[in-house]
Amino acid sequence: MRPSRTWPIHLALGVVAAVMLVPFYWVLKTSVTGENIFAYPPSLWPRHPHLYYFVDVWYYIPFVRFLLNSVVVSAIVVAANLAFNALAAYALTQPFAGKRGVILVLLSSMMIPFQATIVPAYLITKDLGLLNSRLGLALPLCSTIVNIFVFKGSFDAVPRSLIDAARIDGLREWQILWHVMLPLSTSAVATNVILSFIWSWNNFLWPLIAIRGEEMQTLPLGLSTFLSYLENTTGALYAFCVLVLAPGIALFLLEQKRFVEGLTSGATKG
Amino acid sequence: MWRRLLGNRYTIVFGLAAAGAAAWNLYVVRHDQGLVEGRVLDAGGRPAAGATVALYERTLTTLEPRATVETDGEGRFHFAGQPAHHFVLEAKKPGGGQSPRTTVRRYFRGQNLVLAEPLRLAPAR
Repeated sequence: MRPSRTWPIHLALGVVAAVMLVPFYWVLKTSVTGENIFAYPPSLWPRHPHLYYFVDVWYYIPFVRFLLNSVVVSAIVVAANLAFNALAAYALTQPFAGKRGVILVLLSSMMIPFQATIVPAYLITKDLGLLNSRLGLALPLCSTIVNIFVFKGSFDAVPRSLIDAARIDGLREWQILWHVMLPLSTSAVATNVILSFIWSWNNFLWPLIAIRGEEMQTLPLGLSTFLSYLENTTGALYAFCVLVLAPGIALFLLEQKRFVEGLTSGATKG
Repeated sequence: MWRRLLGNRYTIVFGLAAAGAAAWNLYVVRHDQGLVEGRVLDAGGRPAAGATVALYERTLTTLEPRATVETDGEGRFHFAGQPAHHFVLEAKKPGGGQSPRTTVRRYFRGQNLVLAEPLRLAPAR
């Protein structure tokens, strides 16, 4: 297509992108103005913007502790997802008896919502003595089936001859995974990192159930606590939302190319 | 190797964030003595000597009284060691009325501050 004919498409895509970004813009605008969302007439541009609401969030609640908890829990989840999902996906690329059944069970399990398994998850975590701990917060998200299949799709695309050559050269299975499969699946690694990070970072229900004290609360839980303190905190509340959203958006922007590649690799063949 | 590492977007983004945080903390350490300075004027616009200025910290739910000082002969007041980042100032003078409550905000606890606008006493109605 000639460049002169692409501008209508670019214009339409630009408009759609702008519409998609409006909620983010509105959150950012409210965080620096404190304007009530129901104010009429609404103003598109921020009037008298300032950063004091971010200061309020920093000091009125133990924000640094919430942030530290979220970072630690997310780091555990990301590391565990990379390790467990890569191992599980590599196993699923190998021929073994009952492989179809295992895949079927995994795919079926994806249809069960977390809310349905929350009681057994709670009991297991309690039996392990991990309630009210960061490890306990990370436990249910340490391996996710979607991410296993992201890895599997990527591993399936690696030529079989390469794996056979690695075996002939004397590499063990874990060495093949580490030295051959993972370096060839950087998009899947990036997708695993981003998805597991965002799921862990935004997780609200499980921390709400597994955490009792304020010292172990994560950011989403802290946000709800903050809401319960005072009604008239519009600006500070939105500032809190910006601080919660920022790391996830930053990570996505840093890795967006590989993230999209990782999600689409294996979707097409040839 | 080093050029590749330094040119990496993670190094640049997190490096800039770390440098910004370090610079900010350095600035905070040098400007966090908790000083609050300003002036009080009477209803005629003259310096109000001997007025009492009260500082209330704004918490999430209420105003907590923290300190009071008296203005000098030129109507100046000076608080030291006040860490509140969000507070309210109010000046009173017997027979001279009182000022409206003025909300003051800081970017960090204990930030040294000189008020641009004086507190103006208004006769009690």
